[in-house]
Amino acid sequence: MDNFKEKNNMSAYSDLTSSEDVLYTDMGAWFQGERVVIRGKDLFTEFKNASWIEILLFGITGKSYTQDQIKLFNGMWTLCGSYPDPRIWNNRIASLAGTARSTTALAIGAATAVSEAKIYGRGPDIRSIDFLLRTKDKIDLGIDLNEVVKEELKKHRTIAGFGRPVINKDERIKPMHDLAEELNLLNGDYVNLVYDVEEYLLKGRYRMRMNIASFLAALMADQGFTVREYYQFMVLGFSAGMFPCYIDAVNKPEGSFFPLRCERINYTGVAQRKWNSKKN
Amino acid sequence: MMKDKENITSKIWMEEAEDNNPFLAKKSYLHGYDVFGDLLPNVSYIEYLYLLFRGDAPTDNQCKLLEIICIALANPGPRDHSVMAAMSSSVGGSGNAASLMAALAVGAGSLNGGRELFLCMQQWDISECDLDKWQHEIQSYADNPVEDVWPVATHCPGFEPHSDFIKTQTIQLLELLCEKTESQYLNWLNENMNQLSSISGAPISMVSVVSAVYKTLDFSAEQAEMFYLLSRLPGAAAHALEQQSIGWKKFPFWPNGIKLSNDPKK
Repeated sequence: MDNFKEKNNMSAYSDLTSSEDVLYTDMGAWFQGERVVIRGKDLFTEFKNASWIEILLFGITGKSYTQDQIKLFNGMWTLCGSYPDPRIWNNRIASLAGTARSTTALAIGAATAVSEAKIYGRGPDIRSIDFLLRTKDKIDLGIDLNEVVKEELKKHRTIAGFGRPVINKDERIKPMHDLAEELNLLNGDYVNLVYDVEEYLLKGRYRMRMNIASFLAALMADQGFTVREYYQFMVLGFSAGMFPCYIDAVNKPEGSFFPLRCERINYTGVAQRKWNSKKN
Repeated sequence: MMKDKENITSKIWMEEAEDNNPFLAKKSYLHGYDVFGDLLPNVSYIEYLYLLFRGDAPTDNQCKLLEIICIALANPGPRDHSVMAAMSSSVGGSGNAASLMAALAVGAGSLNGGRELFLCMQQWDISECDLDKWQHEIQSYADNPVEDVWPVATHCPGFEPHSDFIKTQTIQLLELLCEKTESQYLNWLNENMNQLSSISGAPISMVSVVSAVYKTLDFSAEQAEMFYLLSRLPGAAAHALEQQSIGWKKFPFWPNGIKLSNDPKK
């Protein structure tokens, strides 16, 4: 039998044998009937006055934040992700689940998974903060911003977090801008950078405005968030808008959410034909 | 079709309504074939699936390829992560849809999941049956990762991360497919599996074989990923139901299995 791993003292499956029946972790555990530890802290004593968003972020980053930072993070979800409009693609899953009489948890679970999209939600989130972090690194090395943006456009034909499906203006930026300003958390390097990028893109033929993904990414990068931390924080960020969509649909007559007649299928395929067994 | 109203554009499906209810389909057509009047009495399930995805009737060879792969994938077994997820759902009394959603979520990843299959299909599309191109793809799979919602791949797609030899079932599947079907991709893989494994430093996995089948069927990477995700669900469903009836007390929980490195009480 051929052996394809380089020979060493470890077996090819040593990662598995060393983990059999044991999980070494610093993330936490439930001590049955007694207590819970999360990232080295006792849940019941150290978090009894914490808001849910504080423990969510502690679970993601292992860090604690000031009350002003928490207000900023809370505002991101409240102002930027809580749209109870069932036409939006992820929310529509919640409405369809309601009209088809599925459960709330299935509705929200599926709609949350769907929010990890390419053209909205988690895809632009993760690519936006990645772009800003990379761009700032390059500028710090002395590379001109215009060159960085040109290179990015050449490579990806777009800039993550700029432009928007359906409409080119993002109404969430002003209220979020105002909140960050009120909290004195607006003037970090990444927020300045995202405005500089927008200025460049508006000047040129691209005519792309920043959307909320890049603005939030800039705010979070200024608070020290990494790519993964920002993405993970945003995963549940649309959920407050999903529940009303489900509730509305489940309270209306079953099947009555934007029903489609048979003739609403715009068929563009081949003409009617007869099955002739296999075409070997 | 109502052109002045919202509608769904589709090359796949057309419907004719009942005379007295515009919301009920009297006839449905799949790629031009009358589903209930013509296909239902005449086609096999595999033929129907192929037609659905590819838009035309399959050949005998294509049917055989799909049938073999569907059986090989239908039950990854209860130790598979996606099946474990479905069972973990059902032992707590969660709904059956939740169990399948759990299986899909876990079975979507780049360790034996849909993502690995998708990435492997991309390698096939780039490399075809060219060992030099494969060598380049294998050696550069981790270069220039693009930030994405998916975690960065930690092994080359299509190769086993935890073995130093090609597992018996992978060889059995590949040999059977080469014997019973015609495919330049499978034949090439059969001839080159040892070289590919040597280049990778890890043996080829079942994912390589399955993606060679989808490549033979001319599936896009996206079609292949979807088909793969679908194909692995029956086992998750069956094992979830089994564990649901056996109950949580007999399902692994590892009561002393967690060792905390930062317990504040220690």
